[in-house]
Amino acid sequence: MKKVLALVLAVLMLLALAACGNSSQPTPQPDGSGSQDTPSKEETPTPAPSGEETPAPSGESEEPAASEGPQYGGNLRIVSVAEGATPIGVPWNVIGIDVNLCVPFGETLLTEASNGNIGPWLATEWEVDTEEPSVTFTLREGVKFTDGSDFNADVCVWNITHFIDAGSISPSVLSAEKIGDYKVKVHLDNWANTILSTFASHSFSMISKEYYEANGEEKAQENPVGTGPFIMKEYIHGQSITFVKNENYWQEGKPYLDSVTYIFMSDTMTQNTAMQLDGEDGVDVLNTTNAQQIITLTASDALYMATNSIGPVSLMPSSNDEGDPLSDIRVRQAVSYAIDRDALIAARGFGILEAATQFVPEAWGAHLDSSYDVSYDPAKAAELLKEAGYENGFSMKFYVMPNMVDSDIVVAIQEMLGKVGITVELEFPDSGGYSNYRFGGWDNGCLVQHTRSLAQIGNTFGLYLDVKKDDATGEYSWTYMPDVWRPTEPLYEAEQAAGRSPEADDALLQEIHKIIMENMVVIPLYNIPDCFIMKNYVHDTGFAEWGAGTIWLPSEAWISQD
Amino acid sequence: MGSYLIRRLLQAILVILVVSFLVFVLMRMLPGDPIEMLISSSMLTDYTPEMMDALRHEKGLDQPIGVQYLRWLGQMGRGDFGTSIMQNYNIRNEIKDRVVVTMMIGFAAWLIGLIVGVLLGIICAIRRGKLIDNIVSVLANIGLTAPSFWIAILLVYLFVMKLHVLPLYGYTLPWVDFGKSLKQSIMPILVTALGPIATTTRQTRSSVLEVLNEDYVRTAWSKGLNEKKVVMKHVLKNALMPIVTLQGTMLRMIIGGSVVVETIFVIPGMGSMLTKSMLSHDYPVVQAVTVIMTAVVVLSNLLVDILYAWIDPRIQYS
Repeated sequence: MKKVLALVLAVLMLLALAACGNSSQPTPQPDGSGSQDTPSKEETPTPAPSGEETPAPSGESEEPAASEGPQYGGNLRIVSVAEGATPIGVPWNVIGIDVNLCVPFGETLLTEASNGNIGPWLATEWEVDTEEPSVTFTLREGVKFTDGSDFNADVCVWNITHFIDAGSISPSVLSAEKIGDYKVKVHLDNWANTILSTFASHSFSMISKEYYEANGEEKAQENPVGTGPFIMKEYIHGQSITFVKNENYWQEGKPYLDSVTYIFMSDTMTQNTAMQLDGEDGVDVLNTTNAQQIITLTASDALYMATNSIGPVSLMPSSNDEGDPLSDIRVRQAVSYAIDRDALIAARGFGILEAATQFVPEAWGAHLDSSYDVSYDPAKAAELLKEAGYENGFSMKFYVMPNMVDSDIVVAIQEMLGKVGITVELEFPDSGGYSNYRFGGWDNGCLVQHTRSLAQIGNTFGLYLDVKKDDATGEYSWTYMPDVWRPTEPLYEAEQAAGRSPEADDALLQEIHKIIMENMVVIPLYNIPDCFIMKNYVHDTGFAEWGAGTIWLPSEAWISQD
Repeated sequence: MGSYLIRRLLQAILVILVVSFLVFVLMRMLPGDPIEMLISSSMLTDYTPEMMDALRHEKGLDQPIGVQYLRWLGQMGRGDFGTSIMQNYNIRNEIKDRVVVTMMIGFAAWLIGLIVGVLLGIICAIRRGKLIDNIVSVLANIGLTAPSFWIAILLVYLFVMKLHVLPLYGYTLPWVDFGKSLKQSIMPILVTALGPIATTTRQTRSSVLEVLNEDYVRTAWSKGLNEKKVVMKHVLKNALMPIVTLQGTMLRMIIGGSVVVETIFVIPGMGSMLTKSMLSHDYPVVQAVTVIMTAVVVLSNLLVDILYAWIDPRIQYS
């Protein structure tokens, strides 16, 4: 009897151990297996619609070389962490991550590479007028929506007007005017050189005016009609969405794929299993920022990855009282000097994360010279604390962003700061609690936040460190972070100068970055990559090569059929 | 009986109202504003505080909480569950599809839990102390204590990665493609049913053991009735009451379990919808799903109470 029981238990334990273990468990690779992003500023021609030249996308990948050119056929299955319930047919009603689902059917006027370079798509040319702020687009001729209607200036103006009315586009876009059958002038409130990236975002995909007006908004929402290479076939809310090839796509001979399917998969275990499976149950593309997941999956020979730097996880200090330790620049510098970033990366970087020495990573033109790098120097940290009158240390709090921040690294930082006398209390709020701090303010402490470096780095400054000026009183204020020590006026002036230049100017953007680093407005910790893990038979998707607006090019992607 | 039913129905409505109010208030007491979360998760770089206020106004979130509640209650009364704050979908349409999926898996798991659990419980009780009793008792304890996500990992490892016989994710309704639906449902139903099987087995074993010691059972044996007749006619019917009571709580367990199962196996049901909406503070979705789940549990408990009278005619409702 006892033997039988022991046998049953032994079988169960074996099964459990087998499931918990992983025969292909990788070991962290200090040299960084696979690529690490470098969105270079290099410009080389790349495949573009109708053989035009667009600025080179810049994310790096280790895509296996294909013996032949593009092949036709196949279904590309992409893991999506979106909820998968939003009707996607009317882009001005689509918000958040669900915009990604518009890529196969919707197309934009422009494209944006991950290095910020703008290229043509539905607009072949664009002309900027900074004096009388406007952009004039020349539209591509011969493009049709999947309902057979034409894409022209009327339709483009109608779309942009809806974006304005819905309040989904930048408030600086005032109106759109038809000035020719294929020419549209967009009037702006003021010139900001980041505006072009707006027209590369799939939030502003063009849809058929004819279909919308004939069928109403509700039907148009459920039945997307764009100019893209794919047409929506089936949308199982919460499970998957499938697009099939648009046989009448305006780029002759494209797309190569028969279909594209997004699968709404949020569980990491399920994602990992699906990526490792072949056949019907597998998936082909997974987007993740989780270093542990990246290193686990890329240990497989059947997968490769493409990465794109998306900026650092940083400490964002705040204090509303001039007597508060963090109000003193020397204390903020001491915090930075007390953190051994290399040790953090060696322990928890998995060969994927990198120490961040500046707020803007090296790949961007706004990155500063090495004199601005922050490094580990506990003796200097102690000295600065002494100078500031805190030689016996002080206490503060860390509010840690959920999901994007490695909590083990935060605990290690707590330990490092403890060595110079700074006692840190950790708080790990949920998404709601965190956004409450982010928008409502936090005191005597730091947010531990991922600050995303966008292709147009000016947008990053605007997103996290936006300063407003009240024209009536002349007072400056932070949009979401009221406090006493931040250099509001110089930062406001620098942001204005950088934004108003005809084109993004690295020198002007560096001025903003200098103010941030000199004042330790942000204390960078480590850079994380946006990683696209793909099966070896997947080619030319462009994942990690294009900016957050363009995302990828479904018309170019193909699958090896052998 | 009629007045009892009406009274219980009124109580059920009251419970649903109280739960809806509590969920409504508690969700708003949690730190975090859905509009702020929407802005930060969407990286909307051009959104100004004024635009956020306008969006908050559009969603009706700038009104006093009492007004918001009454307005929402009025909408619910008209069958309008509103629109998702975070994703702009029509909640009623979304729930309509998802509730069927959750119920299909939940009902199958419950049925399997009941049949297998009762069967194993009877066998264990009758064969008390024997090999089968010991094995089932150990397995029941594992079923009770093992977390469902862990069981799911074991099943995925065995059936998907090693044997390649079951699909990893997805759900198809049986009337669309029965074969596919069956294959896709096996793991989710097994994971969901494991807890109910274990609980029902233990409860049945203990109830049957109690009844087996009763005089009338001994009398039945002494009359020379065969085992099947004694168990089915004399033991089971009298041991059934606690098992039926348990089924009311089983439904709660199954609905709770759907959250994990639907997330792991990518099943478009109510559980996954509730998880995602709670994490993103999508108030109207959480409220609607909670009210529906509450209604299902309250009504199932009412059904259980009504079943008492059918099982035991001595129970009178007045």
